[in-house]
Order: sequence, then structure tokens, then C-alpha cells
Amino acid sequence: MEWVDTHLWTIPLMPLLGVLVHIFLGGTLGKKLVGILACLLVFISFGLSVVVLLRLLELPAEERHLLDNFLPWIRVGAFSADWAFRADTLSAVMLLVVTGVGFLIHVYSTGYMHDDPKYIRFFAYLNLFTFSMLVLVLASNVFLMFIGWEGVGLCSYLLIGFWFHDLNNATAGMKAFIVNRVGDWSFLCGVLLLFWSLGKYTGTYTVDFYEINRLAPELPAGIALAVGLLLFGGAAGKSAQIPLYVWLPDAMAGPTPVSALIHAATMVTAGVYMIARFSGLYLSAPDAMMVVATVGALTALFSATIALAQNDIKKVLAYSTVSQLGYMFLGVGVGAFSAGIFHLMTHAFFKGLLFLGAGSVIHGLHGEQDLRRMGALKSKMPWTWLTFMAAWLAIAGFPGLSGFFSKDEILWQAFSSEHGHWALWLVGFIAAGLTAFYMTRLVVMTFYGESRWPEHAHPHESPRNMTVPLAVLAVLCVIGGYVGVPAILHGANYFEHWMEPAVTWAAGHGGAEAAEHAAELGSHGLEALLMAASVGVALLGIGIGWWMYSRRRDIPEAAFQRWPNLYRWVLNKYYVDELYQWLVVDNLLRLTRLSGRFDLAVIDGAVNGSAWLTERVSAISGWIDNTFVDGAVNGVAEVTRAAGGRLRLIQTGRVQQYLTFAAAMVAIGVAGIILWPSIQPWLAELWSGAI
Amino acid sequence: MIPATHILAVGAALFCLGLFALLSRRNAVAVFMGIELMLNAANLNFVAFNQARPEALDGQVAAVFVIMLAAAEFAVALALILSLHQMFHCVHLDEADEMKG
Amino acid sequence: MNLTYLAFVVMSAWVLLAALYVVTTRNVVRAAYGLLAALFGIAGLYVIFAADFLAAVQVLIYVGGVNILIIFGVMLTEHLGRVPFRLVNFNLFPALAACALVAFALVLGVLIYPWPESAASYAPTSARIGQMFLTKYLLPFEVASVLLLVVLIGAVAVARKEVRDE
Repeated sequence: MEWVDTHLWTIPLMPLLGVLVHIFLGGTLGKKLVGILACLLVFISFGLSVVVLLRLLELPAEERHLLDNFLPWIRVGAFSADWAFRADTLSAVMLLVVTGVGFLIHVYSTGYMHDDPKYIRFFAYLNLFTFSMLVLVLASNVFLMFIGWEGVGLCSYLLIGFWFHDLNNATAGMKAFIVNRVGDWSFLCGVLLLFWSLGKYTGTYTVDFYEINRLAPELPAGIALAVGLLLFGGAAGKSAQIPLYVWLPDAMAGPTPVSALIHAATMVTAGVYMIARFSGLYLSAPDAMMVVATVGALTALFSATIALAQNDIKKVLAYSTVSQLGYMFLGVGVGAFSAGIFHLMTHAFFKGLLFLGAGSVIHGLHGEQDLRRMGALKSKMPWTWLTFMAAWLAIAGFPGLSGFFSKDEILWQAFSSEHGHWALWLVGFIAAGLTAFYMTRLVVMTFYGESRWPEHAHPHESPRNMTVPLAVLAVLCVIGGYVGVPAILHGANYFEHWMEPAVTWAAGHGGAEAAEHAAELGSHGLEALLMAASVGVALLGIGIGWWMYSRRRDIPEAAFQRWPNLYRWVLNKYYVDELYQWLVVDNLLRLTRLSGRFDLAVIDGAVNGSAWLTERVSAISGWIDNTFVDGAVNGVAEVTRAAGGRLRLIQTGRVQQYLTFAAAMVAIGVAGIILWPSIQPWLAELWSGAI
Repeated sequence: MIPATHILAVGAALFCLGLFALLSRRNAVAVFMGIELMLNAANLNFVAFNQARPEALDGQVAAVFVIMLAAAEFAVALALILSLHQMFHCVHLDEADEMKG
Repeated sequence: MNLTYLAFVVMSAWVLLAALYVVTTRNVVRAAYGLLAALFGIAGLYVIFAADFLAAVQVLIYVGGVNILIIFGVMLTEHLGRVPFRLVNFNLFPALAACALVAFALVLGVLIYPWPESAASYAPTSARIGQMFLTKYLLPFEVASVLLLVVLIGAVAVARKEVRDE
């Protein structure tokens, strides 16, 4: 399996091939072949990723790191940034998630998009998305990562606005793109500052991640903090954290498989991955980590509250995604990089499944997305229901399912890590309860209770190529967590040890220290207590949600009626979009209008003013002409007029004539300058002679 | 070796030929050909000057910039010629003497 | 008279004759082909002056790009096969006079100023030119790329606008 050491580039090549084939040969191949080819190529990538994993397993733990430098790119002096892919334990996990979940979503899309007229283009975009994401996770240096980073941004724009004939969808695509640009700007500033300061303070210009992480402790604290914050700005844009999360809920405008791909497996995880990639840098900037963790925790809580009141099934899932991403940032922010990536992985399973399941429901109900017009779908869509159950319990943190292990790991690290704090734990804890509650609400309103869909809707189960991916993801939801069973449950926490080589740096290492820290606290008991608490709050959320929405629908109704303003506030997402509209967009428009008016008033005014001035001057000169020149001797007037007439002849409007004069004058001038030394004595003599 | 004055003389002759085309031809495309000749004459001089100090390549770099500018200039020129053609239905510069089309 | 000088004389004669043809021929299409010959000749001169990179650029951009554009320009605007009645504008004699003046100034300059003699070296230049672009001339280089972008957009804008008006 050494073969793969020098052939990492084949992994992204597969989807890229797909893009080219779909674009240039798609029409000839036909829909069916394009669908099969798209899935097959991603599956080959998945197979290659598995080979990478096996190859890494062959190596001893400290050497689990393949570098394939296959194409020189930028080389100036000692500096080099090449097309080089690196597979270490971190990128191997990402590879498997991206290609694995991505493959299932491709298969699902062949069913979901079956009747769409732009089917071929859709698969070209999907493959391009997978390609960009693979470049992003495999990149060994920042520049190459930036290519993938921008690539997923572009693809998200293309896919969110896929049904662009509806203005809302096109606007949502643009919103995602523009908000991402804000983050990208911050990211780029961070990269440039990092590059510059590394050169200045360590004498090495480098963009390689391992080099950066190794050299980061030598940076001054202030610069490391600034770089960390700027990079986090980029991550916040891509991974939808406060204050740049606003694009993600609108991104639901795209086809549902796109939502699953963007929000589960690929794009939004890029930010978390990037922070984990820069783990050495962040470990040497503890204040930046504090900011990351705080923003993550607040986002988790904030968007969980918004999700409570949404009525669109995809909107609930969107805010839930934002909230879960907040968890991941909480994890990486307290130094538990492996826990963050672990949650990223399990989240890819259950959120991918939730989106695909929601898509199946929407498909079955002919495009209905409003929870208030669903219900009682359990018997109509048994497969969708069954798989949805697994995802629901996983995200709610039901003991034994994947979400439970990863979420609990993050919460425990948030409490016990040296970068953690009990307040962070508390915020995450509350958000966990809310998550269980709103997910239960979603499930009850979709699958249980009385049917609220119109009579003629005839909901039906989705075709096989949609339910099979659901089933696979459901299995992963259930068993995916057992790679990271914590020590307290007598597990080996295999995942954490696996991740260790990729996140351990001179500045400290993520993850494992928490265990030592805990040992110092002497608090296995405390860990058990916290775990019990989070299980309790999850069960409590599920219980209350179930009771409220299946038995006592009147309670939420009464609550809404009791506090209508609060309800409206939450329903309208705290008016953050309106705030941004008022604060940023309107001001920008005002600025545009102002500069337009400036143009009209000042610039045009200056032009008009000078015209007016000329007119006045010419009026005055005309007056002078009339009074003095006409009053003077006729001959003078004649001479003036004649000269004017002659001079007018020069103004023919023929450019070449002007040019002729210009050339002649320049030639005379140049000749004069050259000849000046020889003319000058002669002139001087003439002058002295004259005197 | 080639005396510098000879290279410069060739450049000067080329420049004058180009200038003549620029000043006297009616067809806008022919005028631009004249401009290209003049730019090439200037480039020839740059290279000739560079020959005096072969260890420094500033003259050749300048020539590359001139070539780049010439390409850009002709792209714009072609656009102008096309819109001129649309406006006057010919590209004779002595007939295009109105200030506003 | 050594061989290099001989090559220089032959090449210069070639360039000047081609340029003369460009300037005097009545047919614009022929002028374009004459220009092609002249530009090739100048690339040859660059080779004689040991400017290998420049010669390649000359062939690629001038011969391959600009000249093709010129031929495009001729084809798009000229009614082929019809030689115009009047080749030169009203401006022939003033133009000749101006050219004579410019030639006079140039000859003066060439003769009077003590130009440094060339010390040709035949080292390859491409790598060093590339390095100068990324070091000493980085700013002009970047400005040039912005300029090219502006030209790209500007050319489209200029060429399109009138179509929409009609």
C-alpha cells in the first residue's frame, strides 16, 4: 500500500474528472450515465481514502503522516509553496467523512433530482464541490488550502442558487457568497499577517502547516493572538458562527441534498478543520482560543433558541447545524481538537441523515416544508421514519448513540481542560437540553400526531436510491460513536489517540492533557456526574418535547399567547437579519447613493461651474471686444479677425494633423536641447555684441 | 561587435517609418500598424542600451513591459476601431472629425 | 566585419524593407503581412543581441497575438478586394516634413551623444528576467496585471456599447 504515498493526488482527481466529463460530455452520456459516473467517481475517492487510512494504520503512531509533493507551484528563493497533499490522521478522518457522506449524498441526489431539467449541471457542481473540499482537507500549505477554501465558497454559491429563476434563491446564493467573502477577507489578512510575521520573527518564510505549527510558539503573543482571531474570522464565515452565521439558514433555498452536503459533510466543517489544522498556532495563542470557545458556546445556545420557534423543517435543521457547529468550535476552542473533529464526524452522520430524511419527507409531500402541514407520516414513510429516529436520538444525545459520545466529550473537555471554564460547560449544557427539545418537537410534528397535510397530497415513501443512503447513514449514526468511547466508560478512546499526532505541538497538545488534568482533579466521579447530568438534560428535553407536542399542544400555544412579543422575536430570529440590513446593507446603499449624489452635485457641478465660468469670462471678453476693440482702429479689428480666421483653420478636428504638429514641435524641442551646447556660445556672443 | 550607433540608427529609421504611417495613413488599422512599428523601434533601443551592461537586465525588462503595453493598447485600439466602424461605417480617420458621434 | 555584424546588417535591412512596405503599400491586408515580416525580423535582431527571452516573447505576443488582432481588425472593418481611392490623407506633405524633423532630431541624438559601446554576453536571460519581475519590478508587474484586467473589461465595454445603442 506504499503506492498511495505518492498518489494522494488521485483522490481529488476523481471528482475533478467527473466535473470535466459532465460539462463536456454530459449531453452525450445522458442523465442516467452521468448520475452513475458521478457516484462511482466519488466512491473511488472513498475507496482511495480507505486505502490511505489502512496505510496510515500500518505506520507507527508518530509517523502517521504522508506527504505527496507532486507539482512545483511557487518557488522564490528558499520559499516554496507547491501542489503538495498531506494525509495525516486529521485529514484522513476528513477524507473519509467528505468522500463517504458525500458519496451517499450523491446516490441520494440521483433520486431526489431525478426530474430536474438541470440534472447534469447539478452533478457537475456536486463533483466540483467534492473536489474543492478534498483539496481543502488534503492541502499541505495555506495557499493550496485557500484554493479549496474559495472553491467551496464558489460551489456553495452555485448550488444554493441552483434554482436561480426564483429571485429568492438567487439572493440566498449571493448572500452566502458575500457573507463568506467577509470571512475570507479576514482569513486572507490572517494568512498574510502570519506569513509576514513568521518571516520577521523566526526568519523562515513558510506556508506549510506543520512548519507553521512548529514555529508558532516563537511568535510574539500579540501577533499570535491577532493571527488567531483573523483566521477565526474566516472560520466564522465559512462555518457560520456569530456574527457571520446569517447566510446558512438562507442557504436552505438550495436543493435539499445540497443542504446535506454543505451543512453536514463539507463546507461548514471547513472552519473547524482549519482551526484544528492550525492547532499549534492556536495553542500558542490561548486568548484567541478563549474567543473561539466563547463564540462557539454562544452560537450553540443562541441558534438553539432560534430553532425552537421555526416552522420550516429545513430552517430548524439549519439553526441546529449552526448550533452544532458552535459545539465544535467550543471543542477546538478549549484545546480539545480531537473532540471537535469527533463531533464533526458524528455530526456529518446524523445531520446528513436528518437533511436527507427531511428531503425525503419534502419529496414525499411534493415540496411541502412547513411543519404545521405535516404529521402522522410514520406509517406512510416507514424507512424515512425509522432512520430519522436514529438521527434524532443521536443529535439529542441519547446514551449509546454517536452524538452522545462526541457531545459529552466536548462538554467534559469544556469543563475540565486548562483552557476550559465551568461557564462554557454550562452554556453548552443548556444548549444540549434545548437541542433535545427542538429536535423532539420536529420529530413529533413531522411523524406523529394527527395528519395536517391536505387530502390530495398522498405522501409516499421515497425510491430505493434515496432510502438506502438513509439506512447506511442511520447505521453510522448508531455505531459511529464507538470509536471514541471515553475511559470512564471503560473504552480506550481510540479516536483521541488516533488524532494525537496531528494536534500535538511544542506549544502543548490538544486533548490528552484534559485526562491528566482530570486525574489531578482526582475527579472520575466528577466526570461521571457531568455525564449523568448531560444524559439527564437530554432525556428531560426529549421528554418535555414529547409531552408538550404530542399530548399537550395547548401549552406551547398558551405560551405563545402569553408572551407574543417574545415569540415573535424568536420566530424572526431576533431580527438579526433586519439589524444587518439596517446596519450594513442600508448604510452601504446609502454610501452608494451618497457617492452618486456627490458625482452629480460636486463633479458635475464642477464641470458645469467651469462651463458657466467660461461663459461669464467669454461674456466679459465679448464686452471688452465690443467696447474696446470695436471702438479701436478698424485695421486692428481686421488684423484680429484675420488672425482668428487663420488660427481657426488649425482646429480641424483631424487628429493626425494635430499629431503632425506635436511631432514637429517635439522634434524641434529635442533638436534644440541636443544642439544647445553648440548654439549657446553663439547666442552668448550675439547677446554681448548687442550690448 | 555591433557599434551602438548602428543599432540606434536602425531604431531611428524604424521609428520614422512608423511615425510616417501614423501621420499620413487614412486607415485606422494602418495607423495602428505605424504605432506598433514605433513601439518596436523603442524596444530595439532598450535592448541596444541593455547590451552596454549585460549583467543588468533592466533594458530587457522594460522591453517586456512595452510589449505587454502594446498588446493591451492594441486590444483597446481594436475595440475603438470597431466602434468607429459602427459609427461612421468606415475607418478613415480624416472623416471621423466630429466630436460627438 | 565579423559574422555577427553581417547578420545584423542583413536583419536590419530586412526589417526596414518590410517596414517600408508596410508604410507604402496600398492594400491594408498586405501591410499587415508586411508587419508580420518586420516583427519577425525584430525578433531576429533580438536573437543577435542575445536577448533570448525577449525574442520568444516578441514572437509569441507580437507575431502570435498583436498581428493576429491586426488582421482581425482589417477583416472586420475593411471591404476586402476594394483598394481605396485615396491611400494617404490630406496630410502627406506636412507628415513628411514632420518625419524629416523627427529624423533630424534622432540622427543628431545618435551622432552627438557618446553612447556606451555594447559588451555582448551570451548568457541565458529568462531566469534572471523572471526573478527581476518578482523582486525589483514586482510593483510594475502587479500594476501591469491590473492594467491588463482593466483593458480586458474596457475593450469589451467600448466594443459593446455601440451595439446596444443601435
